[in-house]
Amino acid sequence: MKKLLKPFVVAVSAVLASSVMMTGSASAQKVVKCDFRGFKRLGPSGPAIVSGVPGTMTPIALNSIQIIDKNIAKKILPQAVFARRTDTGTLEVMARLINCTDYPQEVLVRTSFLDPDQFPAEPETAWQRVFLQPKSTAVYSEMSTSMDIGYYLIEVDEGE
Amino acid sequence: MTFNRASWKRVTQCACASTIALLLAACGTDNSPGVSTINQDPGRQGAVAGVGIESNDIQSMTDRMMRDMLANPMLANAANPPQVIVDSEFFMNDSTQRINKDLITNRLRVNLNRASQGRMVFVGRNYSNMVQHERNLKRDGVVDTGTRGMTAAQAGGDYRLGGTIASADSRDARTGMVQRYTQITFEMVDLERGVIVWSGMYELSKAAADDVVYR
Repeated sequence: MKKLLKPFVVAVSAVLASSVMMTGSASAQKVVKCDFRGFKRLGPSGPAIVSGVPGTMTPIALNSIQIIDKNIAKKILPQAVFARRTDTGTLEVMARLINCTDYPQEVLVRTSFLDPDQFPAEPETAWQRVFLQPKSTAVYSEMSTSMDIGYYLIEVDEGE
Repeated sequence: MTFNRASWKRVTQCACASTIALLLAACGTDNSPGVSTINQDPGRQGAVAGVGIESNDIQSMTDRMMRDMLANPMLANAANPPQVIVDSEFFMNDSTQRINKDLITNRLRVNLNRASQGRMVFVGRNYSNMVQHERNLKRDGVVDTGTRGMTAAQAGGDYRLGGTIASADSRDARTGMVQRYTQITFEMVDLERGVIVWSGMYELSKAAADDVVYR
């Protein structure tokens, strides 16, 4: 019996461990939090190539949606992000947003397109207004102007 | 009624006191209701906003049209880059808002020209008089031919931008609330066959009861 149970226990623990890892890696993108204490401790800095101090900022994942306003972080949920090439070789990105509230919501969305070296390939797109009806989805889409796109970042802000 | 010396003295004193009081009031004018200059992001709604087309709408609509045009194979993926004319000549304003159409067409042309990187060639038809003047000087021998050589004629357009700004207004007489639906259409017309090779539309609907005047 013990021999029979052992593989089962191992399998269950492996599944549990993998689910925890999945939850950690696939957790929802949160609002950026900046911790300035590191900079304050560092004092005035001279010229440097590296501008950031490790651990002072939440890293922003690329090829994703970033909600930049705390007020809508619990109201609007990004459900999916897609990207595809257009007929002319530019990149089209699409994001599906859900309004989790019982009221109509309005958000402003823009995209930054970066080249494969993560340099800005073009200026950020203009803010586009997206209206979301209660408990419903809305799709935001945007196209790059250049063809050499490696990464993108979609930002969602509260509509004025 | 007669004025004696004492009465005149009193009247003079009162007049002097009033004049001084007025002068002091004028010197000490409180300007606190004024608002100091605010630098604004033209891509976001400004401090003075009404129901019409504003800077953020212009940025948003021209950006969207530019990106859409660059995804159109007829315009941005042709073997020979098409020669296009983007100006406000055939971009009509039929709306109730007074607006300089060049704000829209100039931004569209400039950004499209910068982003297209040779995928389209832009004809500056609004500069044709300037070009013709220089061509005449070259052909009359007044100036030399420059470094680029001479052509038989100025560039002709393959496609030209046309479009309309239209609006529908409504007003609640009881509350004074004003609502305006604005629809802006953009079309690229083949200048030989007259067919429309690309279309784009931008719509906005705004309501407000603020006293904002567009001019």
